Amino acid sequence: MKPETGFLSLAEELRSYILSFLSCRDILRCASVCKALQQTYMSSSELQYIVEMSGQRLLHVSNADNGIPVSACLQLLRDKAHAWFKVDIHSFETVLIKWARRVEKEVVAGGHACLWDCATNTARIFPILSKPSQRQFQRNWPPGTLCSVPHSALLDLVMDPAQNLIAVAYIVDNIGVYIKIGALDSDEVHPQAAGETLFLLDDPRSFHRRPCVKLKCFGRHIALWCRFGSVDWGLMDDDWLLQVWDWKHSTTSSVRFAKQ
Amino acid sequence: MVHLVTSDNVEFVVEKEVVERSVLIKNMLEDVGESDQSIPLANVSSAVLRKVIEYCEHHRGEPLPSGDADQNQDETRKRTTDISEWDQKFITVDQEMLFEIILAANYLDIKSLLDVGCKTVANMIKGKTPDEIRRLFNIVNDFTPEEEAQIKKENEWAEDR
Repeated sequence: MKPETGFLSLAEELRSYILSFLSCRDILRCASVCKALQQTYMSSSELQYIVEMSGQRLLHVSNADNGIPVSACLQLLRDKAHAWFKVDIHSFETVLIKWARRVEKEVVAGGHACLWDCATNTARIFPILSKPSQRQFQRNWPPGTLCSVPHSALLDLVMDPAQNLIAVAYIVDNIGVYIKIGALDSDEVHPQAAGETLFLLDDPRSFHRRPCVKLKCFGRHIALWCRFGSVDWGLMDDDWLLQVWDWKHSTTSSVRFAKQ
Repeated sequence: MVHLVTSDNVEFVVEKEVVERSVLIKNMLEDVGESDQSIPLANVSSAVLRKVIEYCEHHRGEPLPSGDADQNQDETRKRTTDISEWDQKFITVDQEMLFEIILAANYLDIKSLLDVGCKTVANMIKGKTPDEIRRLFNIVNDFTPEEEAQIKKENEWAEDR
């Protein structure tokens, strides 16, 4: 005599197919009936997709080209959801920055917010994630010490507390652009830097007016993007230049892109 | 005419047009060509095959779902449990027969019948608590009380919406 055919005697694919006709709540209720049904749920991307969609209060959009498997859709949903779950609304803290008269620059990097006040040459860095290793830091550079070159003007700066790095891009006499590599906690050159100053590859043209400069730091690489020409940002056909340094290795740029 | 022999050795003679609703049999006939040889269906009993043929007879002439039906089905799927009146009456059987029909439809590859069966089971589950589902399908709860409490806690969010 054959054993009676019941819900649990169906193959896993059939069980999950049946459950896929159900709503999120009913699917989760089924998954808490017994271990076998819990397993059905755990091994089905499609069921988890339905639950996750509902959890995020999203609607299913059928993709016309049908190219993305449901497991990839599920992964996308999860990544998106987890990015939000990491934001714990109870752990928010308001940081009062009494000091900031005029915040010229603010960067969020490596769990820190870095503020720069141009008027007083002051950097203030404080952790925005509560990890024990992170510390609050404030530093004020007396006039003329951060960039001691005469007739120079600061263009941009970047801070990376994880590397104790402050890089300052400045222009001298509207002719040459340089990047100074310093340490955040001392007046010395950064101990791991290849040299005090990074040099732009020779550019035949002189700056008729101050270029627009953006500085970024990614680990041991510093990138400088420099835009020449009119002040009007709407003009996209301006010349620009992008150079990348390995600042721990060399003071000259290894990569250069330009549009002229 | 096509000859089918069930697991309990009962022979059915069915019109080709009717039985070709089964993709399995349709493919078999295409492979073998016209022949009077009977097709053995070792996984289907006569009681179940009778039901399946009844279904195929009723839906004779309706277009078979084409290959790209998977996409369309994706949308109708969300409206879950619409079952036509005739199908609903047809599928009003005891639980064992219901699951047998699902198994047979899956084996014979009759998508529309599989959906009717699966939607019916889904309808039975709909709105029931885990305990009611256990009673419905005669399932033993093999979670420890601790595990059960944990699951309940994890799923709480879905309950109050």
